[in-house]
Amino acid sequence: MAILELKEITKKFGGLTAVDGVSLKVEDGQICALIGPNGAGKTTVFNMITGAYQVSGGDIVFNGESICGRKSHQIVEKGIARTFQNIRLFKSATVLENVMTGFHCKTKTGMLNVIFKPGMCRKEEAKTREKSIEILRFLGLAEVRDLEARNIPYGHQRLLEIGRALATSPKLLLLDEPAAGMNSQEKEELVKTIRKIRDAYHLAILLVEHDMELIMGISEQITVINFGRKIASGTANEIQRNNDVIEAYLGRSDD
Amino acid sequence: MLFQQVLNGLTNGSLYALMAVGVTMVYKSLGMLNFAHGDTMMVGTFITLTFIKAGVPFYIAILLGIACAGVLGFMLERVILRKVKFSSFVNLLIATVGVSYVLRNTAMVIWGTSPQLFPSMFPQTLIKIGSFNVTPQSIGIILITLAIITGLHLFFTRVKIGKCMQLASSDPEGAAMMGINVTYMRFLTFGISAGLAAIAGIMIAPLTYARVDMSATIGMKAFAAAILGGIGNLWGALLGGVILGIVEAVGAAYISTAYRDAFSFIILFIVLFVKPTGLLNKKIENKL
Amino acid sequence: MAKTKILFMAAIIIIIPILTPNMYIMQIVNMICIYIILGTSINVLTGFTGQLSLGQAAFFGVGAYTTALLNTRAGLQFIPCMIGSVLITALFGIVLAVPALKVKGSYLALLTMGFGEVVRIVMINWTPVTNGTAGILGIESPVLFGFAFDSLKKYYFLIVAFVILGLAYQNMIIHTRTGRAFVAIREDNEAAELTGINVTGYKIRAFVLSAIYCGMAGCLYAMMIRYISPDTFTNNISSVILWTAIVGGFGTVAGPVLGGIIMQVLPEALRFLGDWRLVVYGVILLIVILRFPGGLYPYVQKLLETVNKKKAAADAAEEG
Repeated sequence: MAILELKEITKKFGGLTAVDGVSLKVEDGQICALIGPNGAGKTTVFNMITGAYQVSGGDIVFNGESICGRKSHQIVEKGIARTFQNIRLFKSATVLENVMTGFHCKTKTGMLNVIFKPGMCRKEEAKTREKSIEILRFLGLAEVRDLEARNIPYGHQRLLEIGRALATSPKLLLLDEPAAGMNSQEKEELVKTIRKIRDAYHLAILLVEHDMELIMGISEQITVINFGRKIASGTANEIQRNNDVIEAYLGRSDD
Repeated sequence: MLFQQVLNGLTNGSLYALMAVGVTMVYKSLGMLNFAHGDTMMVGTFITLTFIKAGVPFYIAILLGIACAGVLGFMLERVILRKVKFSSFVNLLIATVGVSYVLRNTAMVIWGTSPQLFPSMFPQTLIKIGSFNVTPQSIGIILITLAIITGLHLFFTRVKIGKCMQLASSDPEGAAMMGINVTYMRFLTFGISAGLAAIAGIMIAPLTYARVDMSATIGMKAFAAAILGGIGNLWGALLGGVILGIVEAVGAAYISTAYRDAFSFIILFIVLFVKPTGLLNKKIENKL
Repeated sequence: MAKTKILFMAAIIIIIPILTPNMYIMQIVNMICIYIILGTSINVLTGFTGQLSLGQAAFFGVGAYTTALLNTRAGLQFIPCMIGSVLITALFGIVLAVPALKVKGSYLALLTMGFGEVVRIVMINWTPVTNGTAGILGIESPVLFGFAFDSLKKYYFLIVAFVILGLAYQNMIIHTRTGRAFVAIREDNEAAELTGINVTGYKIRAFVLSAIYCGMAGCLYAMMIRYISPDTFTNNISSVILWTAIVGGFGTVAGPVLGGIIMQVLPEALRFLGDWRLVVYGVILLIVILRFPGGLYPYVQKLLETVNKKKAAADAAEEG
């Protein structure tokens, strides 16, 4: 069953059409990639899925229901989480607190029931803490959990962002250039981690990336867009042999 | 009767416009509102008054007052804001609030809290045009304001330093790459902004008396005018000031005099709700 | 918290009124308490949620006037007055929150400042209700279950009770889900929304909670001074409230305690400067803000930590 289906989605900014009739399917538990030259519209597509941008045309169906027009935090509640190209952690909070914040939409402690139902709140707080530490352990960050997020190394910050997203119990994880700024060893680790996450958490992953090797190595399905339009989709082998794709990337300095 | 109010409004509006220009220049340069602007105006006005009372010839006193205000603006940038530069934005704002507090209380100690008479640079006659009374004061203020703003426009578009200042504000990185000392430009911006404030204060003081508490209300109206017209925009400041002045005058005459000062806030709320970028700026699509 | 710490603080709290030599100082102590509550209010809004507010005096005033009116016009006693103040200020909190959602930074500061001014203008001009610049006289001191808090010393215990409640609640909030949501909003609005936090809802909550603290302080203030007027609730006071939190320690629960003490004691300590005392006061505050951007409390904390470490090292050396 397709967990996410983009049906001919379009985004216009005034006179400029950034995304033009893009269709895309992500199956349950699948690792998919969205690639294209710079400015092709990949991040715009992400923003449309998460509700940051309003869709100008078409529909986005997640888990069988249309999520167009919903507010971002509601979409997160429904099960879509994302990471950012330029890491956006809660810098002055600790590593642990960042992950615990991710549990927000799945917990209930509020401003009133913290007084009237202290027992429940205390239990929930303990459980949130426990589960967060579990996620940190899974990602290898358990030791730095009390450090402020801004003080941990770059590679760890990227992992932490993924951890925070995992805390929201997503069914679909959107990764926006997760390998940016990483060296080849870190990228190898990342590939392993992404597979590990998919297997352990039973979720689908859609990633945007520029690193071709990483994409080809990990993706089960790739969609290529250029100038806001889909120009190809298929497996890694099919994409690599597709003339339109090669042309789109021709002249670009690849990494 | 209505025309009379509109004329009054134009007069006050010109002064709000001058203040708004200073506000908008600083906002463009620093990305924030200088909450000590109104107090700079007030202090400049009182310094001028002190010089006048000390026997300094009238126009020299005015020049000195404007110069002192300029120095105050320079010092604000140099001493306070440079230190806070790398701290959070909140701290920068609070620093200006702090400076405002210090200026206001210093003024209260030096000059007292009672309103003081301020001589006008215009003859106190009444000119009758048809059935309306017009004072040289009103005409003078409007003309001087127009002249100053036009002069500034020319300065920013034709004169080298002015163009550098504009560039340093709108594209600091680009300007730096062209060899412009962005910090120095900001320094100048503050000084000029303060000087403008002093001019506005000197022109309004004859009408309202020189009072220490003029800083708060006029300061806020300056912000409202700048935002209404479009922040960062020179002509926006003029437009915003004029509209504010007229709405205030008409509103005070026909709706309620007591709530006169509230009109600028009401306008501010409306602007922030409907079109925060202001009248003359393009609308920006917000990404959440 | 450790039992010894609690006992220690309880002891200090009880000793204070015994040690104060006269009513003047007692009043200052009570005002410190009120400013602790006010400082906490802005801490909630600005320190934790990042919404800069320069209009807290408006909420403070609304709370005070509500109590004043309920008491002098309707003859209501302490508890209904407190409830009334809290509810009405909460409403005002919502009123300010709605436009505040759309702006940030300088604009938000300006909006809140404008809000403060408008409320004050209404206080001055809506004479039939607020009695204008003359203010409202003859507010009674609180009577709770038959016990009359009619002296400053007795009142002290009532105020302290509310300070403790306020700080305890703040502490609870900060260390749970709500606090994390506030901090997330402060750090990065968008990222917070995309982590599943209803940013709009929580911003409104922050404004309402902040307003409620001010309303509480307003009620306590009105029944202590027993006379209020628009002069008390000016822009200047909003600045002082802001500084209470900043100087004390932005974004910490205990910061406002330190801030409250400093902000009230400093002007008194500077009395010998005569007219210039407020100027020097302002300059000192500026220096503190510039030199200690996060407030003084983190430094105090570090100081205590080093003292404790030295003590622990000394103990270890002794045993070893």
